[in-house]
Amino acid sequence: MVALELVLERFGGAMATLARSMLRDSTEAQDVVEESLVRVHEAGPRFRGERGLRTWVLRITANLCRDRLRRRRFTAGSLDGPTPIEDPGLRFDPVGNWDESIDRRALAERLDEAIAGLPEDQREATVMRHRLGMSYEEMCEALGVPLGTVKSRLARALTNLRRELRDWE
Amino acid sequence: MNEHEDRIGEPVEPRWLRLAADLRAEPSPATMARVRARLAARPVEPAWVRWLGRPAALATSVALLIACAWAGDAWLTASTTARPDDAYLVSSLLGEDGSFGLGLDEIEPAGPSSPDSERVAR
Repeated sequence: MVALELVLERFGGAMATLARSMLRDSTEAQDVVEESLVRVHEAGPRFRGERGLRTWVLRITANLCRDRLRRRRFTAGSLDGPTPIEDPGLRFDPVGNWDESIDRRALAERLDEAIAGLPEDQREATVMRHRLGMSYEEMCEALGVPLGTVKSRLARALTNLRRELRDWE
Repeated sequence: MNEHEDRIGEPVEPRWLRLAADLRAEPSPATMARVRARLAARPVEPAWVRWLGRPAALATSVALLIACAWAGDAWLTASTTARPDDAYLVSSLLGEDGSFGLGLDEIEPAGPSSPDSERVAR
């Protein structure tokens, strides 16, 4: 249990950020974080450390998010994908410097809306890379896909974001 | 080359993409308590049931299947090789000369032969 508390303390923020960005639903995201920790507790003895602990934990969270999104698609009975819920429950916490004359928060929220509109795989890659700051190698391990796939998802996501936010260019 | 790509072919990330890191989330403070409650509410399943869910269970099943197939094949082969002994026994009983113990040399023609069979005898 002490180990689980440490996992929550160290990676809880990343888990919650990933879940909320993917699911856009605070309650469901919280549920995924809790379920991820239960899985971590159960699978802990089998963790061999071949990949980093953060990567392993985020992989579990990402898998659970994908399950939820799939279930949501089935229950919605639509092939168009889930409609993003308006309140993702993400907190504005500026990182780095920015031009003070620009409303940074408004821009961040607009970017978040654009990310929410991306296809699931591209959104997942974008959140991992640009919101959680994961390296390509960590992403490959967390997503279970080769480097080329990670890069192509990110490139397609960027193309879509540029199109969506073309007035920013 | 695309204007949005650098010299090694990877897309150049725009500055505004850094804003993505500005929005973050934290888990609820009650998370650990809820996780404890979930763990306590989970039925404790026997170790062998947990083991069934592991990849080792599949590997063991395949190994057992192969072992059974090999043992079955070995048993069938042994049964097949036992069959000639029976065949030898039957041959001995019947006689290897094809007479089946009837003593063909001593048998006289039973009756007058036809012209065709006389020609063959000659």
